[in-house]
This record gives sequence, C-alpha cells and structure tokens, in this order.
Amino acid sequence: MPTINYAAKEIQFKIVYCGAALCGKTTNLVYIHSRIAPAHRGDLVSLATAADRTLFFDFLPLSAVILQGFKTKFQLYTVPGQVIYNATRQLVLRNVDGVVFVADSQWDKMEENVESFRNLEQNLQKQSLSLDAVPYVLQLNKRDLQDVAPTNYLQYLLNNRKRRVQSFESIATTGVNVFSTLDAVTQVLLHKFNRERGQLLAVPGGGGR
Amino acid sequence: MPFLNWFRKKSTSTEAEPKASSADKSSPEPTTVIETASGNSEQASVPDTPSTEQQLTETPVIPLSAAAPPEPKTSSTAEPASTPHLSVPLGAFYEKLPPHLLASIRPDLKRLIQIAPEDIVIEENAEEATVPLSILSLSCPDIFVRPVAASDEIPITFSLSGPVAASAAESSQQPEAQPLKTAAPPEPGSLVVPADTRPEEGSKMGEPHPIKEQLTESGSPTRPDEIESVERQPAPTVRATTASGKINLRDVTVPVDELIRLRESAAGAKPLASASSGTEFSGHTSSAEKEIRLRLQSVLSNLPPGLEQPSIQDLSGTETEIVLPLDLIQPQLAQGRVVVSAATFCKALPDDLKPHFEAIEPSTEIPIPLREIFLGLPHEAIKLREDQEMVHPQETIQTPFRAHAEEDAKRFGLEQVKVNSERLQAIFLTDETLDLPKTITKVGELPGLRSCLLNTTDGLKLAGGLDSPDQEQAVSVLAPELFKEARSKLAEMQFGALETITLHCGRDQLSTFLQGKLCLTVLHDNRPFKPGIREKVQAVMNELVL
Repeated sequence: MPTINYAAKEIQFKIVYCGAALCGKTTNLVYIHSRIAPAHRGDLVSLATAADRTLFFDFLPLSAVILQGFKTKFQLYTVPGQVIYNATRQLVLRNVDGVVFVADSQWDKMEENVESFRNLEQNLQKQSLSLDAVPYVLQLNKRDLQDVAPTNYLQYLLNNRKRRVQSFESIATTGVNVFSTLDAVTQVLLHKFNRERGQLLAVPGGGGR
Repeated sequence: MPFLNWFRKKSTSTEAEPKASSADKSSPEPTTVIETASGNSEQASVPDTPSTEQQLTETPVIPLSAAAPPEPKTSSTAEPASTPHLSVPLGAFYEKLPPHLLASIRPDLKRLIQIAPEDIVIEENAEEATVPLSILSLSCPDIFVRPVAASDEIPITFSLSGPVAASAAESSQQPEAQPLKTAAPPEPGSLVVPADTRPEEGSKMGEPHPIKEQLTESGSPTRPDEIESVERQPAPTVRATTASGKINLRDVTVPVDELIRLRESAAGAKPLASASSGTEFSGHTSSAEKEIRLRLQSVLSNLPPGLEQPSIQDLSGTETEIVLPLDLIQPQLAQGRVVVSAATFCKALPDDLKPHFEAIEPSTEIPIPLREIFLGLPHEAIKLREDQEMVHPQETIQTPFRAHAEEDAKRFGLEQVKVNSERLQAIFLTDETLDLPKTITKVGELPGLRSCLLNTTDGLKLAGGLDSPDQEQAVSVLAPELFKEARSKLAEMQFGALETITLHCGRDQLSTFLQGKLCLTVLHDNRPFKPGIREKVQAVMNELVL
C-alpha cells in the first residue's frame, strides 16, 4: 500500500526485489544507483556480509514521476535470499507495492528459484495478499553465463500461472534489462494505483488536483 | 464363449455409431487429434466413465479427440489411458526397415510396439498395413540410430496375416483384474479396435476421424478374468466385419491367443507411480510410453558427495545410456529438480553395472541433472498453460526509469526495432498493444510453432528465444549467413525473391526469415508450416524495421 502524504504532495511506493540467494538482487540495485543522477536518489544502504551476502536488506530511494500533481517516490528494497532469513523477508515485504522476482538462470539454481518463489507467495499470504493481486515482473538474470536453462523452462517454472507477467532476460552485472525490469514493474503498479486509488487523490481536501 | 460372442456381435453392429460420430466431428482442434494420436507423441485424454447404468444401456464410445493432455499418473489406482492403438510385433516389419537407420543391437522381434490407428493404412484385400517410417521411429525410437528425418521417410508395408494384434493401448497400464460375477460393461478404452482410419467422404481435411468403433457387446464382459475363460481354447482368428467399404481396421485379423496374452500381461502389470510418491519402475518401458535417454556419466558426475563410492567412481568415463520413462520425470520438472529412487535407477541400469550400485540404500534419491534431461526432452513436456492472460499495461506512463531503459537498450543494441503496433494487432487479430517482445512471443505461439528468435544479421539477439542458449547463439550466427548465401545463389535463377528457408534436421525443423538487418527464426512443432502461418510470419517481418 503506497504512502500518500497530502501535505507534501508525495506518494511513496515500495518495490521489493526478491529471489534466491546470490541471484543478483543487490547487483540490480547497485546498477540502478550508479545510473540515477544523485539529485534523484538517496544513498544506497546495503547491509551485507564480507561475502556480499545481504544481511538485512538494501534500500535505495528514488524520485520519479508526477502523478496527478503528486510527486512519486520509489523505495527499492532487496530481501536476503538465504532460507534462514525468512523473518527478515517478511518484514521487508510488509506493505509492498510491487515485486521484482529475480531468477537465477543457472541450471543448478532451478530448485532454489522455485522455492524462493513459493516463499514469496507464502510471505505475501501472511499479509493476506495474493501474488495475483501484487504487481510483479520476472527478471531472468545471469543470461550471460554458459550453464543456463532455456527461458521457456524458467517461464514454465515461474510464469505458468493464470496471470502471465512480463519477464526480462537480464545481465545485472552489466545492466542489460535492469531498467527495463524496473520500468515494467513501475508501470504495472502505477496503473494499478491509478485504477484502484486514483480517485483518492481527487478527494476534496486531499489536494490531489 | 463370451469373448468371441462379443467380437462377433459387435462387429456387425457398426451402424449404431452415427450419433457418436457426429459428436466426434464437432470436436474442436482437429489437428490436435492427429498429433496427439499419432506416433505415441501424446495420449488422448481419458473420457469420463459413464455410470454403470449408462454403460449397460448405451453403446460405449471412446472419443479419440483429446482436448487436454493426460494427468500424470500419481497413484496406483489411476484410471488407465483409453487411446486405442494397434499392437504390432517388431518382427512384422523389422526386416523392411532401412538398415542404415537401425541400431546395431538387434531388438527382441517379439516385442510389441503400439501404433495409433490414424497412422496406419490397411489394405483390405492384401491384408497388409502400411505405416510411415517416421511413425515407427516414434513408436520405437530405441531401434533407430537417429530420428527419422523427412528425407528418410518411406512407407513400410507389412502383412497382417501374421501375429499382428489389435488391442488397446493400455496393455501395460491396465489395473489389476477384479473378480467379475455379473455382466459388466467394458472399461473405457478396453479392447477397442477403431473402425475407420480415414475421414468420411466429404469431411474436411484435418477434421477428426470418424468415431472409432468399440468392439464390445453391450453388457458383455471384457475383463481380463473373462478372457481367461477362453484361455484353453485353440487360437482361432476372429475377423470383424465392417459396414463400410473403406479402408479400416475392422478387418484386421486378430489372433485370440495374442489378445489373451496381452490381457494377462496387462492384468499383472503395475502402473507407474510418480517419482514423488514412491517410484515403481519395472526396469523396462513399453514403446507406447515416452522414454527419455540419459547419459549415465552425466548422472554420475552429479551424484551428491555421500554417494560417490569407489565402486561408482570406477565407472568414470562410461558411455552407457539409461532409459527412464518420461512419466517419471515430467511431473517433477515443475519443482526445478528431478530425482529417482536408487531402486528405480538400478533397474534402468544394464545388468553388468548394477553391482556397482548395490551398496546404495534403495530409497536414496538419485538426482538427475536437468541439463541432461533437456537434451532429450520433448518440447511439449514443458508447455505453458493455455488459459494464461498476459499482464501488460496498455498505456505507457513516462518514467525516468523508462528513459534509462531506452538508453541502455541503445547501448546494448536492444529494442532498436520499431514496431507498428496497430498493423501487428491486425495481423494477430488482437486489441492488445504489441511491442517487440510481445510480438515475438506471439509469433512463437502461432499454431505449429513452438519458439521464435529475432536477431540482427550481426548475430545480436533482440527478442524471443529458442530451446537453449547454445542453439540461440548458433542460430543467430548461422541462419543469416545461410539465408544470404541461399539468396545470392537463387538470385541467378528466376524463382523470385527468397522469403523463407526451412531446415529439416534430425530432431527439429526450423525456418528463417530475413528482412533487412533482421533475422527471425522459428522452431516448428514437429510439422512444417500450417496453412497461412508462413505468410503471417512474413507479414510480421514486413512490419518490423530496424
């Protein structure tokens, strides 16, 4: 659920990057942080171990578009991918507005991808949210590696639901399709917000228009 | 002799079928019928079992048109598949197969292979049957050194007067026989011999075949234990007559002893359970089931450390292949991991290698590498559900992220292709706004195609994909070169502009379109272009501009 500050005319959306351990979630945020002009972003907060394993979460605030007179801000988070940090994932996923599920394309990560995706569903359910109700996109990462599964198998594993979401083949280390993924999830959640909550902004006294 | 009576009476009652026939004709997706019933490529769905009362009062009809693939068998009580097939011993045609295509190991010529009725043409007078070689290669791929290509295709004719038995396909899947005290209707799919193998006159090309005749007598039992009642009889042949003068399977000579033997083996056969529910695997698979070949070395190199025993390490470098039923593998693919029990794994091993694995606990899970599985996996094994709804916003909100995405796309050579959404929408008859990825996805979803790759003539991938990244890389480079070469050679002849080239390879067929700097390659779904599809892809190419 986005945070709407009528006084400051700001809407904040929370986008969470989920996926198995070491699939490239933090790499996505690092790349985004490196490309956004400092005036439009905050500092990237990353709590990681020496082995680059995200310990708690990464956080990157971004300013973006004007929506019905409101300045929209996006807070990008990642969750720790390791199985044992499920409580942290649940915490980070609270009030999530959009999800990027980052899948590791390597053959030996398929089971972890499936487990991570299920874990995402379960954690959303604990917030009484269905994945079908949350804007999300898939990012099939590490497509530059040799030992990767075909995209149709990844689609079969992760995108074989009634709702087929957008998916992007990416190489987060170089930035291929990193912004396309972020743009896609942003589009979906803004459309959803416009559809479901757009009228809220026009409430008298709300200063929406 | 109820069994014989059942045959005789049923064979004269073919006129009772028009109602069912019309129902069958109304089945949508006629091409699906052909594909699902042919060459054991897919099994028809199990029809709903009518109530006992209905079965006793109505002539049971086994529809062959399959709208959905069968559910994986997950328990030993699963209903048997009901697609009728002809069982033919390998020996009936083995000597007529091209020797250069045959594997060096001579198979057991008594082994029965099963052929869908649609794929066989019966010569009434000569008592001969003809089957395309490619169908045989699908039914018993293990006897061939490689898949039969279109260029290898020849008709194989064999005699029906020998031990050719018409039987139901479920000979290895029939549940255990139940004592039957009263007359009972036949099980769906049991002892069914299809009537006509060709569409009726006037039927359109590609329409489902007319309803197949079920050789049962209403109320007459056909359970295996009933068949036992004629077990001691001499082996007469039963000739089923036909009301139609067309080529059909009713005149197939059916040795009763062969049928009895089939039914007995069916009654004793254990159905396959899914691996996840405790694997049962007899160690060999019938040719009617799909199998998957795996290199043993690949499996061994992925064994968990706890299983790497010295006796197994001795097998390093082995070139042995094992064969596992696809039914065992396919249900697990959605988990991202495939395992079989050590007991099952050992059964699939050649006898001389089994001692190497004796020390492993039978219930231990042996992981099968996905990469190895995908080398021989039929593409339909991982098809996406057909009722999916695409989630794409129709309108675009301009965000700073989009600007960055476009910048990156230029930097990486992506998304430079301009698409005319309205014209593409007209081609695909959709209201959905189409961008490049969506367009290429839609091309790959056209009937008869299974995937699509768009790349530049420089080999840069733009959208879509093929079965594997290796394929994509190779095709991205090879296809444009091949096309340009062919085009330059053909330009000297007066055939007109080259639009498409189709390559028929051993396993796959792929077609390439070239337009300016864009090269589009599609993988076919077993068969060449269906009518109108090539032209549609060409029209799409005309709308893409780099």
